[in-house]
Amino acid sequence: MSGDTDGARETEHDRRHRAAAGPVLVRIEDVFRRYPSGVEALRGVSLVAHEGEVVCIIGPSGSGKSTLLRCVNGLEPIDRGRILIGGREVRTKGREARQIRQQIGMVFQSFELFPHMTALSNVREGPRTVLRLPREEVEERARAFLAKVGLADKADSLPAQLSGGQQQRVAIARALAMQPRAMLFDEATSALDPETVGEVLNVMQQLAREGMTMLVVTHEMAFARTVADWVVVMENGQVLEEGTPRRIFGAPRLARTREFLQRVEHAPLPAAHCPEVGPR
Amino acid sequence: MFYWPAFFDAFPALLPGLMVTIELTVLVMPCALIVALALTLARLYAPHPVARVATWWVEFWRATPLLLQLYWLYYVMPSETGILLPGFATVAFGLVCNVSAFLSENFRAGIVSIRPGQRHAGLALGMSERQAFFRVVMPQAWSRVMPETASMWVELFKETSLVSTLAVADLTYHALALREENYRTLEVLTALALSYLVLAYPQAKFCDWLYRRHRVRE
Repeated sequence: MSGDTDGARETEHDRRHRAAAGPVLVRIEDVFRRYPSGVEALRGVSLVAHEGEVVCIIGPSGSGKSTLLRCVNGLEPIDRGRILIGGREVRTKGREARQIRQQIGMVFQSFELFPHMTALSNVREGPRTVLRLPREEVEERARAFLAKVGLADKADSLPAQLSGGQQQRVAIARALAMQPRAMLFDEATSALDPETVGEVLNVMQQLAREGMTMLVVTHEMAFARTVADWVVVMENGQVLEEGTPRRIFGAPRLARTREFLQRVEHAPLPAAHCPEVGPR
Repeated sequence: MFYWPAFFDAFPALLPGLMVTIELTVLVMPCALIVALALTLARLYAPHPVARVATWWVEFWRATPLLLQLYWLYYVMPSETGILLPGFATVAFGLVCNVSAFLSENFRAGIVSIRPGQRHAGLALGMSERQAFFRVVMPQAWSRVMPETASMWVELFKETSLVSTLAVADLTYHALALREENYRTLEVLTALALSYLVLAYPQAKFCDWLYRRHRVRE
Protein backbone atom coordinates (compact mmCIF):
# COMPACT_ATOMS: atom_id res chain seq x y z
CA MET A 1 0.00 0.00 0.00
CA SER A 2 2.55 2.60 1.12
CA GLY A 3 4.57 2.51 -2.07
CA ASP A 4 1.58 3.92 -3.98
CA THR A 5 1.10 7.10 -2.02
CA ASP A 6 3.77 9.00 -3.83
CA GLY A 7 2.13 8.06 -7.11
CA ALA A 8 -1.12 9.60 -5.92
CA ARG A 9 0.42 13.05 -5.73
CA GLU A 10 -1.34 15.64 -7.81
CA THR A 11 0.23 16.81 -11.00
CA GLU A 12 0.70 20.45 -11.81
CA HIS A 13 -2.35 20.24 -14.07
CA ASP A 14 -4.51 18.86 -11.26
CA ARG A 15 -3.31 21.44 -8.80
CA ARG A 16 -4.07 24.35 -11.08
CA HIS A 17 -7.50 22.96 -11.75
CA ARG A 18 -8.32 22.58 -8.08
CA ALA A 19 -7.04 26.04 -7.19
CA ALA A 20 -9.58 27.56 -9.56
CA ALA A 21 -12.50 25.81 -7.81
CA GLY A 22 -14.86 27.51 -5.34
CA PRO A 23 -14.92 27.19 -1.55
CA VAL A 24 -14.93 23.71 -0.02
CA LEU A 25 -18.42 22.37 0.69
CA VAL A 26 -17.72 18.75 1.65
CA ARG A 27 -14.54 17.89 3.47
CA ILE A 28 -13.72 14.29 4.36
CA GLU A 29 -10.71 13.90 6.62
CA ASP A 30 -8.99 10.60 7.27
CA VAL A 31 -12.21 8.61 7.69
CA PHE A 32 -12.18 5.02 8.94
CA ARG A 33 -15.16 2.73 9.03
CA ARG A 34 -15.16 -0.86 10.19
CA TYR A 35 -18.39 -2.83 9.98
CA PRO A 36 -19.54 -4.87 12.99
CA SER A 37 -18.73 -7.92 10.85
CA GLY A 38 -15.09 -6.87 10.97
CA VAL A 39 -14.84 -5.73 7.37
CA GLU A 40 -12.83 -2.54 7.07
CA ALA A 41 -14.84 -0.58 4.54
CA LEU A 42 -12.91 2.70 4.82
CA ARG A 43 -9.28 2.98 5.80
CA GLY A 44 -8.28 6.59 6.01
CA VAL A 45 -10.15 8.32 3.21
CA SER A 46 -9.71 12.04 2.65
CA LEU A 47 -11.21 14.12 -0.10
CA VAL A 48 -12.92 17.45 -0.69
CA ALA A 49 -15.69 18.66 -2.93
CA HIS A 50 -15.80 22.35 -3.74
CA GLU A 51 -19.03 24.23 -4.24
CA GLY A 52 -20.48 23.58 -7.67
CA GLU A 53 -18.12 20.73 -8.39
CA VAL A 54 -18.98 17.27 -9.67
CA VAL A 55 -16.76 14.70 -7.96
CA CYS A 56 -17.03 11.20 -9.38
CA ILE A 57 -15.88 8.32 -7.20
CA ILE A 58 -14.97 5.23 -9.17
CA GLY A 59 -13.38 1.93 -8.28
CA PRO A 60 -14.08 -1.79 -8.09
CA SER A 61 -17.07 -3.17 -6.18
CA GLY A 62 -16.44 -3.41 -2.48
CA SER A 63 -13.91 -0.60 -2.50
CA GLY A 64 -15.93 1.45 -0.01
CA LYS A 65 -17.42 4.02 -2.40
CA SER A 66 -21.02 3.55 -1.30
CA THR A 67 -20.08 3.36 2.36
CA LEU A 68 -18.25 6.66 2.01
CA LEU A 69 -21.31 8.29 0.48
CA ARG A 70 -23.54 7.02 3.27
CA CYS A 71 -21.12 8.42 5.83
CA VAL A 72 -21.36 11.85 4.19
CA ASN A 73 -24.99 12.29 5.19
CA GLY A 74 -24.67 10.37 8.43
CA LEU A 75 -26.58 7.25 7.45
CA GLU A 76 -23.50 5.29 8.43
CA PRO A 77 -21.34 6.12 11.45
CA ILE A 78 -17.58 6.59 11.17
CA ASP A 79 -15.04 5.23 13.61
CA ARG A 80 -12.31 7.80 13.10
CA GLY A 81 -11.71 11.04 11.24
CA ARG A 82 -14.37 13.58 10.47
CA ILE A 83 -16.66 14.80 7.75
CA LEU A 84 -17.55 18.47 7.46
CA ILE A 85 -20.30 19.96 5.35
CA GLY A 86 -20.10 23.72 5.06
CA GLY A 87 -17.85 23.59 8.12
CA ARG A 88 -20.32 21.64 10.26
CA GLU A 89 -19.47 18.17 11.40
CA VAL A 90 -21.79 15.39 10.23
CA ARG A 91 -23.65 13.47 12.92
CA THR A 92 -25.59 10.23 12.68
CA LYS A 93 -28.32 10.99 15.21
CA GLY A 94 -30.47 13.81 16.50
CA ARG A 95 -31.47 17.24 15.26
CA GLU A 96 -28.06 18.12 13.87
CA ALA A 97 -28.02 14.96 11.78
CA ARG A 98 -31.43 15.85 10.40
CA GLN A 99 -30.40 19.42 9.61
CA ILE A 100 -27.40 18.21 7.64
CA ARG A 101 -29.47 15.63 5.77
CA GLN A 102 -31.99 18.29 4.79
CA GLN A 103 -29.17 20.04 2.96
CA ILE A 104 -27.84 16.93 1.24
CA GLY A 105 -29.97 15.09 -1.29
CA MET A 106 -29.38 11.40 -1.80
CA VAL A 107 -30.22 9.15 -4.72
CA PHE A 108 -30.00 5.40 -4.18
CA GLN A 109 -29.09 2.58 -6.51
CA SER A 110 -32.46 0.90 -5.91
CA PHE A 111 -34.41 4.20 -6.13
CA GLU A 112 -36.18 3.67 -2.79
CA LEU A 113 -39.24 5.57 -3.87
CA PHE A 114 -42.06 5.19 -1.38
CA PRO A 115 -44.20 2.58 -3.18
CA HIS A 116 -47.41 3.52 -1.39
CA MET A 117 -47.31 7.09 -2.71
CA THR A 118 -47.76 8.54 -6.18
CA ALA A 119 -44.81 10.14 -7.94
CA LEU A 120 -46.04 13.57 -6.92
CA SER A 121 -46.55 12.54 -3.28
CA ASN A 122 -43.03 11.18 -3.21
CA VAL A 123 -41.71 14.57 -4.29
CA ARG A 124 -44.03 16.36 -1.86
CA GLU A 125 -42.89 14.29 1.10
CA GLY A 126 -39.75 16.27 1.96
CA PRO A 127 -41.16 19.78 1.73
CA ARG A 128 -44.31 18.66 3.51
CA THR A 129 -43.17 16.38 6.32
CA VAL A 130 -39.68 17.69 6.91
CA LEU A 131 -39.81 21.38 5.94
CA ARG A 132 -43.50 21.76 6.84
CA LEU A 133 -44.07 24.33 4.10
CA PRO A 134 -47.55 25.68 3.43
CA ARG A 135 -49.67 23.40 1.28
CA GLU A 136 -49.65 25.55 -1.89
CA GLU A 137 -45.91 25.95 -1.76
CA VAL A 138 -45.41 22.21 -1.34
CA GLU A 139 -47.68 21.56 -4.30
CA GLU A 140 -45.98 24.14 -6.49
CA ARG A 141 -42.51 22.95 -5.62
CA ALA A 142 -43.32 19.27 -6.12
CA ARG A 143 -44.84 19.90 -9.55
CA ALA A 144 -41.95 22.12 -10.57
CA PHE A 145 -39.33 19.50 -9.73
CA LEU A 146 -41.30 16.69 -11.32
CA ALA A 147 -41.47 18.83 -14.46
CA LYS A 148 -37.75 19.48 -14.21
CA VAL A 149 -36.99 15.78 -14.55
CA GLY A 150 -39.50 15.58 -17.40
CA LEU A 151 -42.23 13.67 -15.60
CA ALA A 152 -44.97 16.24 -15.10
CA ASP A 153 -47.39 13.87 -16.84
CA LYS A 154 -46.62 11.03 -14.42
CA ALA A 155 -47.60 12.93 -11.29
CA ASP A 156 -50.38 10.52 -10.36
CA SER A 157 -48.59 7.29 -11.25
CA LEU A 158 -47.45 4.91 -8.58
CA PRO A 159 -43.78 3.93 -8.65
CA ALA A 160 -44.75 0.41 -9.74
CA GLN A 161 -46.30 1.88 -12.89
CA LEU A 162 -43.09 3.63 -13.91
CA SER A 163 -40.01 2.32 -15.67
CA GLY A 164 -36.75 2.12 -13.75
CA GLY A 165 -35.43 5.26 -15.40
CA GLN A 166 -38.61 7.15 -14.61
CA GLN A 167 -38.53 5.97 -10.99
CA GLN A 168 -34.97 7.17 -10.61
CA ARG A 169 -35.88 10.55 -12.09
CA VAL A 170 -38.71 10.84 -9.58
CA ALA A 171 -36.22 9.96 -6.85
CA ILE A 172 -33.95 12.75 -8.08
CA ALA A 173 -36.89 15.16 -8.07
CA ARG A 174 -37.75 14.04 -4.54
CA ALA A 175 -34.24 14.87 -3.37
CA LEU A 176 -34.14 18.17 -5.27
CA ALA A 177 -37.44 19.30 -3.77
CA MET A 178 -35.56 19.84 -0.51
CA GLN A 179 -33.41 22.34 -2.43
CA PRO A 180 -30.22 20.79 -1.11
CA ARG A 181 -26.75 22.33 -1.22
CA ALA A 182 -25.27 19.09 -2.54
CA MET A 183 -26.45 15.81 -4.04
CA LEU A 184 -25.11 12.32 -3.45
CA PHE A 185 -25.62 9.72 -6.17
CA ASP A 186 -25.00 6.15 -5.08
CA GLU A 187 -24.67 4.14 -8.30
CA ALA A 188 -27.83 5.79 -9.52
CA THR A 189 -27.86 3.98 -12.86
CA SER A 190 -26.52 0.54 -11.86
CA ALA A 191 -29.96 -1.03 -11.42
CA LEU A 192 -31.37 0.35 -14.66
CA ASP A 193 -32.07 -1.25 -18.01
CA PRO A 194 -29.46 -0.07 -20.50
CA GLU A 195 -32.03 1.85 -22.52
CA THR A 196 -33.11 3.99 -19.57
CA VAL A 197 -29.64 4.80 -18.25
CA GLY A 198 -29.33 7.73 -20.65
CA GLU A 199 -32.39 9.61 -19.42
CA VAL A 200 -31.11 9.54 -15.84
CA LEU A 201 -27.59 10.56 -16.83
CA ASN A 202 -29.07 13.44 -18.82
CA VAL A 203 -30.87 14.74 -15.75
CA MET A 204 -27.65 14.42 -13.74
CA GLN A 205 -25.67 16.22 -16.41
CA GLN A 206 -28.28 18.98 -16.51
CA LEU A 207 -27.93 19.37 -12.73
CA ALA A 208 -24.16 19.54 -13.03
CA ARG A 209 -24.47 22.28 -15.63
CA GLU A 210 -26.67 24.29 -13.29
CA GLY A 211 -23.85 24.25 -10.75
CA MET A 212 -25.10 21.65 -8.27
CA THR A 213 -22.39 20.20 -6.06
CA MET A 214 -22.44 16.46 -6.67
CA LEU A 215 -20.71 13.43 -5.24
CA VAL A 216 -21.30 10.66 -7.74
CA VAL A 217 -20.40 7.03 -7.14
CA THR A 218 -20.63 5.48 -10.56
CA HIS A 219 -19.55 2.78 -12.96
CA GLU A 220 -20.41 5.00 -15.93
CA MET A 221 -16.94 5.91 -17.06
CA ALA A 222 -18.22 8.01 -19.95
CA PHE A 223 -20.14 10.12 -17.46
CA ALA A 224 -17.15 10.48 -15.17
CA ARG A 225 -14.97 11.46 -18.09
CA THR A 226 -17.27 14.06 -19.59
CA VAL A 227 -19.15 15.51 -16.62
CA ALA A 228 -16.85 15.21 -13.61
CA ASP A 229 -14.63 18.07 -12.51
CA TRP A 230 -12.69 15.72 -10.31
CA VAL A 231 -12.32 11.95 -10.29
CA VAL A 232 -11.42 9.88 -7.24
CA VAL A 233 -10.35 6.27 -7.68
CA MET A 234 -10.92 4.06 -4.65
CA GLU A 235 -9.78 0.56 -3.86
CA ASN A 236 -9.87 -1.47 -0.65
CA GLY A 237 -11.25 1.39 1.40
CA GLN A 238 -8.59 3.86 0.34
CA VAL A 239 -8.14 6.53 -2.30
CA LEU A 240 -5.81 5.16 -4.95
CA GLU A 241 -5.45 8.40 -6.82
CA GLU A 242 -7.44 11.46 -7.74
CA GLY A 243 -7.29 14.12 -10.38
CA THR A 244 -9.09 15.75 -13.24
CA PRO A 245 -10.87 13.29 -15.52
CA ARG A 246 -8.43 14.19 -18.27
CA ARG A 247 -5.52 13.23 -16.11
CA ILE A 248 -7.06 10.11 -14.51
CA PHE A 249 -8.35 8.67 -17.76
CA GLY A 250 -5.56 10.08 -19.89
CA ALA A 251 -2.54 9.40 -17.72
CA PRO A 252 -3.37 7.22 -14.75
CA ARG A 253 -0.28 7.15 -12.62
CA LEU A 254 -0.73 3.81 -10.93
CA ALA A 255 -0.72 0.42 -12.54
CA ARG A 256 -3.73 -0.53 -10.41
CA THR A 257 -5.74 2.42 -11.71
CA ARG A 258 -4.84 1.47 -15.25
CA GLU A 259 -5.89 -2.11 -14.65
CA PHE A 260 -9.18 -1.02 -13.18
CA LEU A 261 -9.92 1.34 -16.04
CA GLN A 262 -9.13 -1.30 -18.60
CA ARG A 263 -11.40 -3.77 -16.85
CA VAL A 264 -14.39 -1.44 -16.83
CA GLU A 265 -13.96 0.06 -20.26
CA HIS A 266 -14.96 -2.94 -22.30
CA ALA A 267 -13.19 -1.64 -25.35
CA PRO A 268 -9.78 0.04 -25.25
CA LEU A 269 -10.12 3.77 -24.55
CA PRO A 270 -10.50 5.96 -27.64
CA ALA A 271 -7.15 7.37 -28.59
CA ALA A 272 -8.41 10.96 -28.59
CA HIS A 273 -9.24 10.79 -24.89
CA CYS A 274 -6.45 8.65 -23.77
CA PRO A 275 -3.27 8.81 -25.77
CA GLU A 276 -1.06 7.29 -23.10
CA VAL A 277 -3.03 4.13 -22.42
CA GLY A 278 -2.82 1.58 -25.15
CA PRO A 279 -4.48 -1.81 -25.21
CA ARG A 280 -2.68 -4.37 -23.13
CA MET B 1 -84.01 -38.35 12.44
CA PHE B 2 -83.56 -34.61 12.10
CA TYR B 3 -86.30 -32.91 14.05
CA TRP B 4 -86.81 -29.57 12.24
CA PRO B 5 -88.88 -27.78 14.90
CA ALA B 6 -86.09 -28.26 17.44
CA PHE B 7 -83.65 -26.86 14.88
CA PHE B 8 -85.73 -23.72 14.21
CA ASP B 9 -86.60 -23.21 17.87
CA ALA B 10 -82.93 -23.21 18.74
CA PHE B 11 -82.21 -19.87 17.02
CA PRO B 12 -84.28 -17.60 19.31
CA ALA B 13 -82.67 -19.32 22.28
CA LEU B 14 -79.21 -18.65 20.88
CA LEU B 15 -79.82 -14.96 20.24
CA PRO B 16 -78.69 -13.57 23.64
CA GLY B 17 -75.50 -15.61 23.35
CA LEU B 18 -74.91 -14.22 19.89
CA MET B 19 -74.86 -10.72 21.32
CA VAL B 20 -72.22 -11.73 23.87
CA THR B 21 -70.07 -13.34 21.18
CA ILE B 22 -70.24 -10.23 19.02
CA GLU B 23 -69.57 -7.93 21.96
CA LEU B 24 -66.56 -9.95 22.93
CA THR B 25 -65.13 -9.90 19.40
CA VAL B 26 -65.79 -6.21 18.84
CA LEU B 27 -64.30 -5.29 22.20
CA VAL B 28 -61.24 -7.54 22.10
CA MET B 29 -60.04 -6.86 18.58
CA PRO B 30 -59.40 -3.07 18.80
CA CYS B 31 -57.79 -3.48 22.23
CA ALA B 32 -55.61 -6.29 20.90
CA LEU B 33 -54.55 -4.16 17.92
CA ILE B 34 -53.37 -1.35 20.17
CA VAL B 35 -51.59 -3.70 22.58
CA ALA B 36 -50.01 -5.54 19.65
CA LEU B 37 -48.67 -2.31 18.15
CA ALA B 38 -47.19 -1.31 21.51
CA LEU B 39 -45.60 -4.74 21.94
CA THR B 40 -44.20 -4.64 18.42
CA LEU B 41 -42.64 -1.22 18.90
CA ALA B 42 -41.21 -2.34 22.23
CA ARG B 43 -39.71 -5.45 20.65
CA LEU B 44 -38.18 -3.63 17.72
CA TYR B 45 -37.18 -0.24 19.05
CA ALA B 46 -37.14 -0.21 22.87
CA PRO B 47 -33.92 -0.55 24.89
CA HIS B 48 -32.69 -4.09 25.12
CA PRO B 49 -34.17 -5.22 28.50
CA VAL B 50 -37.62 -3.87 27.59
CA ALA B 51 -37.50 -5.51 24.17
CA ARG B 52 -36.50 -8.76 25.82
CA VAL B 53 -39.40 -8.67 28.26
CA ALA B 54 -41.85 -7.87 25.47
CA THR B 55 -40.53 -10.77 23.42
CA TRP B 56 -40.87 -13.21 26.31
CA TRP B 57 -44.38 -11.95 26.99
CA VAL B 58 -45.36 -12.57 23.37
CA GLU B 59 -43.73 -15.98 23.30
CA PHE B 60 -45.52 -17.00 26.49
CA TRP B 61 -48.97 -16.23 25.11
CA ARG B 62 -48.16 -17.75 21.74
CA ALA B 63 -46.75 -20.96 23.11
CA THR B 64 -49.45 -21.95 25.60
CA PRO B 65 -53.00 -23.07 24.74
CA LEU B 66 -55.70 -20.43 24.84
CA LEU B 67 -58.00 -22.69 26.84
CA LEU B 68 -55.34 -23.13 29.51
CA GLN B 69 -54.72 -19.38 29.61
CA LEU B 70 -58.42 -18.67 30.13
CA TYR B 71 -58.70 -21.33 32.83
CA TRP B 72 -55.67 -19.95 34.60
CA LEU B 73 -57.04 -16.41 34.56
CA TYR B 74 -60.46 -17.58 35.64
CA TYR B 75 -59.57 -20.03 38.40
CA VAL B 76 -55.98 -19.43 39.47
CA MET B 77 -55.63 -15.65 39.26
CA PRO B 78 -58.43 -14.85 41.76
CA SER B 79 -57.26 -17.35 44.36
CA GLU B 80 -53.53 -16.67 44.00
CA THR B 81 -53.47 -12.91 43.41
CA GLY B 82 -56.77 -11.83 44.92
CA ILE B 83 -57.73 -10.06 41.69
CA LEU B 84 -61.33 -10.95 41.10
CA LEU B 85 -62.80 -9.72 37.84
CA PRO B 86 -66.23 -10.49 36.42
CA GLY B 87 -66.18 -13.51 34.11
CA PHE B 88 -66.65 -11.44 30.97
CA ALA B 89 -63.76 -9.10 31.85
CA THR B 90 -61.50 -12.03 32.67
CA VAL B 91 -62.00 -13.79 29.37
CA ALA B 92 -61.82 -10.50 27.46
CA PHE B 93 -58.47 -9.82 29.13
CA GLY B 94 -57.22 -13.30 28.29
CA LEU B 95 -58.30 -12.98 24.67
CA VAL B 96 -56.64 -9.57 24.33
CA CYS B 97 -53.36 -11.01 25.66
CA ASN B 98 -53.53 -14.02 23.38
CA VAL B 99 -54.64 -12.28 20.21
CA SER B 100 -52.26 -9.34 20.67
CA ALA B 101 -49.34 -11.77 20.97
CA PHE B 102 -50.16 -13.33 17.61
CA LEU B 103 -50.87 -9.95 16.02
CA SER B 104 -47.60 -8.58 17.34
CA GLU B 105 -45.64 -11.40 15.77
CA ASN B 106 -47.45 -10.69 12.52
CA PHE B 107 -46.73 -6.94 12.75
CA ARG B 108 -43.10 -7.56 13.57
CA ALA B 109 -42.65 -9.76 10.54
CA GLY B 110 -44.38 -7.13 8.40
CA ILE B 111 -42.14 -4.31 9.60
CA VAL B 112 -38.98 -6.37 9.27
CA SER B 113 -39.96 -7.26 5.71
CA ILE B 114 -39.74 -3.62 4.61
CA ARG B 115 -36.31 -3.02 3.08
CA PRO B 116 -34.01 -0.95 5.33
CA GLY B 117 -33.41 1.26 2.30
CA GLN B 118 -36.92 2.65 2.70
CA ARG B 119 -36.15 3.92 6.17
CA HIS B 120 -32.84 5.29 4.92
CA ALA B 121 -34.63 7.11 2.10
CA GLY B 122 -36.85 8.78 4.69
CA LEU B 123 -33.92 9.67 6.92
CA ALA B 124 -31.94 10.96 3.92
CA LEU B 125 -34.74 13.46 3.28
CA GLY B 126 -34.21 14.74 6.81
CA MET B 127 -37.04 12.87 8.50
CA SER B 128 -36.78 11.90 12.15
CA GLU B 129 -36.83 8.20 13.00
CA ARG B 130 -40.42 8.64 14.11
CA GLN B 131 -41.46 10.26 10.83
CA ALA B 132 -39.64 7.62 8.81
CA PHE B 133 -41.51 4.94 10.74
CA PHE B 134 -44.99 6.41 10.60
CA ARG B 135 -44.84 7.94 7.09
CA VAL B 136 -42.72 5.38 5.28
CA VAL B 137 -42.36 2.02 7.01
CA MET B 138 -45.66 1.55 8.79
CA PRO B 139 -48.03 2.24 5.87
CA GLN B 140 -46.22 -0.36 3.78
CA ALA B 141 -46.00 -2.88 6.61
CA TRP B 142 -49.70 -2.37 7.27
CA SER B 143 -50.56 -3.25 3.69
CA ARG B 144 -48.66 -6.47 4.08
CA VAL B 145 -50.11 -7.53 7.42
CA MET B 146 -53.65 -6.32 6.79
CA PRO B 147 -54.97 -9.56 5.23
CA GLU B 148 -53.49 -11.71 7.99
CA THR B 149 -54.84 -9.33 10.62
CA ALA B 150 -58.30 -9.54 9.11
CA SER B 151 -58.22 -13.32 9.10
CA MET B 152 -57.22 -13.26 12.77
CA TRP B 153 -60.37 -11.32 13.39
CA VAL B 154 -62.41 -14.21 11.97
CA GLU B 155 -60.28 -16.62 13.98
CA LEU B 156 -60.99 -14.66 17.14
CA PHE B 157 -64.69 -14.61 16.39
CA LYS B 158 -64.72 -18.42 16.37
CA GLU B 159 -62.29 -18.88 19.26
CA THR B 160 -64.54 -16.92 21.59
CA SER B 161 -66.53 -20.17 21.80
CA LEU B 162 -63.96 -21.36 24.36
CA VAL B 163 -65.29 -18.88 26.90
CA SER B 164 -68.49 -20.92 27.14
CA THR B 165 -66.55 -23.34 29.35
CA LEU B 166 -66.09 -20.53 31.88
CA ALA B 167 -69.74 -19.68 32.41
CA VAL B 168 -69.63 -16.72 30.05
CA ALA B 169 -72.96 -16.89 28.28
CA ASP B 170 -71.87 -16.65 24.66
CA LEU B 171 -73.36 -18.33 21.62
CA THR B 172 -71.85 -21.74 22.36
CA TYR B 173 -72.79 -21.56 26.06
CA HIS B 174 -76.43 -21.03 25.18
CA ALA B 175 -76.38 -23.87 22.67
CA LEU B 176 -74.84 -26.30 25.15
CA ALA B 177 -77.33 -25.24 27.79
CA LEU B 178 -80.21 -25.75 25.39
CA ARG B 179 -78.92 -29.19 24.51
CA GLU B 180 -78.90 -30.18 28.17
CA GLU B 181 -82.53 -29.12 28.35
CA ASN B 182 -83.97 -30.85 25.30
CA TYR B 183 -81.34 -33.46 24.41
CA ARG B 184 -81.63 -32.45 20.74
CA THR B 185 -77.89 -32.56 20.25
CA LEU B 186 -77.96 -32.89 16.46
CA GLU B 187 -80.42 -30.07 15.86
CA VAL B 188 -78.99 -27.66 18.41
CA LEU B 189 -75.37 -28.11 17.37
CA THR B 190 -76.31 -27.82 13.71
CA ALA B 191 -78.10 -24.58 14.48
CA LEU B 192 -75.00 -23.41 16.35
CA ALA B 193 -72.72 -24.31 13.44
CA LEU B 194 -74.99 -22.50 11.02
CA SER B 195 -74.96 -19.40 13.25
CA TYR B 196 -71.15 -19.24 13.26
CA LEU B 197 -71.01 -19.99 9.55
CA VAL B 198 -73.50 -17.32 8.55
CA LEU B 199 -71.61 -14.73 10.58
CA ALA B 200 -68.05 -15.79 9.79
CA TYR B 201 -68.46 -16.40 6.06
CA PRO B 202 -69.05 -12.76 5.09
CA GLN B 203 -66.12 -11.78 7.30
CA ALA B 204 -63.90 -14.29 5.56
CA LYS B 205 -65.05 -13.00 2.16
CA PHE B 206 -64.33 -9.47 3.34
CA CYS B 207 -60.81 -10.62 4.21
CA ASP B 208 -60.34 -12.00 0.72
CA TRP B 209 -61.45 -8.70 -0.70
CA LEU B 210 -59.07 -6.79 1.54
CA TYR B 211 -56.30 -9.12 0.51
CA ARG B 212 -56.90 -8.42 -3.16
CA ARG B 213 -57.08 -4.68 -2.55
CA HIS B 214 -53.99 -4.49 -0.41
CA ARG B 215 -51.73 -6.70 -2.43
CA VAL B 216 -48.40 -4.95 -2.25
CA ARG B 217 -47.47 -3.33 -5.51
CA GLU B 218 -43.77 -3.09 -6.00
